Amino acid sequence: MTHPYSDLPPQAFWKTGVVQTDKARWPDVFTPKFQITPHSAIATAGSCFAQRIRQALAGENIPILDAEPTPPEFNETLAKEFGYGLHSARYGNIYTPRQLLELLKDVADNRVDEALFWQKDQRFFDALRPNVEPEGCVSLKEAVELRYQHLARVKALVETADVFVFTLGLTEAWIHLPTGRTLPVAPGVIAGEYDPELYKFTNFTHAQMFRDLKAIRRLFKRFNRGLKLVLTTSPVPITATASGQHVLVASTYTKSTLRSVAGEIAMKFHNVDYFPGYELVTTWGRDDAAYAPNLRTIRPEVVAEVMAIFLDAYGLRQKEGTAGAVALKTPQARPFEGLDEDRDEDRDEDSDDNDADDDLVCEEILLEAFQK
Amino acid sequence: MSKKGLLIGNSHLAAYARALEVGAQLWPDQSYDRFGAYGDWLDSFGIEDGWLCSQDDKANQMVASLTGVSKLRPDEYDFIVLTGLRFSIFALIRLFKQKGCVAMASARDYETARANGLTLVSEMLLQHLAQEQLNTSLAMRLVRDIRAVTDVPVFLASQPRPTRQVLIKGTKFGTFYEISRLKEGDFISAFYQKMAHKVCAEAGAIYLPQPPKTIEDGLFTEESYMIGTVRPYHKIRPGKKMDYRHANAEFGALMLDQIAAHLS
Repeated sequence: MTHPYSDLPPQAFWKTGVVQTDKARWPDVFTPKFQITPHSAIATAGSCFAQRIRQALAGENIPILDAEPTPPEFNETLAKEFGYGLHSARYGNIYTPRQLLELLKDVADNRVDEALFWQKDQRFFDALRPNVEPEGCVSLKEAVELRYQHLARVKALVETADVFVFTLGLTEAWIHLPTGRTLPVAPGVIAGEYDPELYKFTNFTHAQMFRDLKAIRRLFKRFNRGLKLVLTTSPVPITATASGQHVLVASTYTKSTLRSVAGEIAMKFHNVDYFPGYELVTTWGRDDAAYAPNLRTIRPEVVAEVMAIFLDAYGLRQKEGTAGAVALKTPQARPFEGLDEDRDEDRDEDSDDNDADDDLVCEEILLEAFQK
Repeated sequence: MSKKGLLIGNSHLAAYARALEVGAQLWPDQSYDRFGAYGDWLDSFGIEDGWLCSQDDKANQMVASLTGVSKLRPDEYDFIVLTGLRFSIFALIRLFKQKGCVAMASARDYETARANGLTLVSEMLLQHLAQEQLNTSLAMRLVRDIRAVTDVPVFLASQPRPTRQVLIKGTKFGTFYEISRLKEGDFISAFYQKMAHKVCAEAGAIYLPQPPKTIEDGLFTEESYMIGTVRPYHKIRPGKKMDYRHANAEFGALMLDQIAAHLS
């Protein structure tokens, strides 16, 4: 007698797929919908965890696009401080689908709104990416023109990329009421000042993010018909919540909603895929602890294992080895021809157990510093 | 009473040395000892038990052949002057290779910058980079070493800007060419001066700028200050008929005037 489960492969069953499986390699946990080849032009964006994906890809010499490459005179520390080399352009961390959607709309319209610049101590900060100029700009004009350049570079990025890897990080965000724009970081954390008349907290729902991701896909199509989207959900719990809920409850809402919406979009569209890095980190089926003692930072060897699975799924690892062997290197990013002929190709990073997140730039962590 | 000064440098020392040889009477209140060698031979020198010295025999030999000594004590001097040693506008020029900020006419907005082949960067970023370039020069390393053993005035005298001879497209001085073409010499000159003053002040030194009358279009030294240069290895050995980067005694005299004015 047969039934719908009788011929299913081992990964379809908990016992063989989880309990008895190789928990370093997790065979068949991810079967890509489309190819990424060593020659694919890949763009990355998203939350802090997106920086890890970029590092892993670059560690295999996959050509990661960099629309705003690090000038050769920069040392690594200064480059990071100024938002170079973290993602495929200097957009800083993009935590929510709404942020990416609004950025792409700005790109499409070549629109810069002067209301979205904060002034602090006679310096001007781009509220939509306040971390990329940590000391601010000397004039509003400078800040505005740098944003116009940024938009042009992002346009070139999405027009050029074959695959856009977007890591979803947060559902919670702050909205600038006069413009309706979503901010990457709460006002006052880096610059700006919190004024309840000007800023409103929001916690995006599944439905809202589903609409946003569909709109992102439509815009991508407008810029580049062949562009494919790979979604991941950051397994890093949220640092703090303004939702009024306990942070554990709020974090679970955030992560499960992001995971859910990414899954639904990926099920719906042939050119959108979902990589289950979130599941690989957060599963209780792991033999070892995934998180460092702060219960937020993911241990480097776990990140390496997860990224090895990602790379192996696409056949991108140059040397087959044990999972966890993916070196976390600073990206050897590919600048666009003509944008910058120089780049620093000789940078390296080491991970350290105690300071595993030190090489990531993560504004969200700043919230912890504000805890009374 | 005459103050005893120490001149430290590389080939750029020659302009001062020559000026002192032909006109020491112009600065009766200062006397100078010299300590230096070509290029980066002073790189191995540092302070040990109060002595400015090196463990590198070849470097010691190079310095001794020029100045007669291979080590000395900075704290025996009333003031110290460093010149050359990679502290120059050359160090900053490369920052502007295909880059600009909105304070420059050629990069006043994104579209203009793009049309001129420039990537916009922020002024604060340029300042960080400039400070790093200048702070890592041999001159600044020696300034910090010397400052640690003496409280006397330490001057860092500007290396002259090059002459217009560098304006040949396609050479290693291509950035000079481009900046000159974009007419940004004055901006970059002012930026260099500002950063040089700042870096020196932070290290407890006094920056002596290149005299304005010797500068052309911000980036260049007026050619008359580069004719008849003397190179330091053999004091009598002339430089090229017109040297594009080493100044002559007339330039050296103007810098010595500045030092005298500071000390008076």
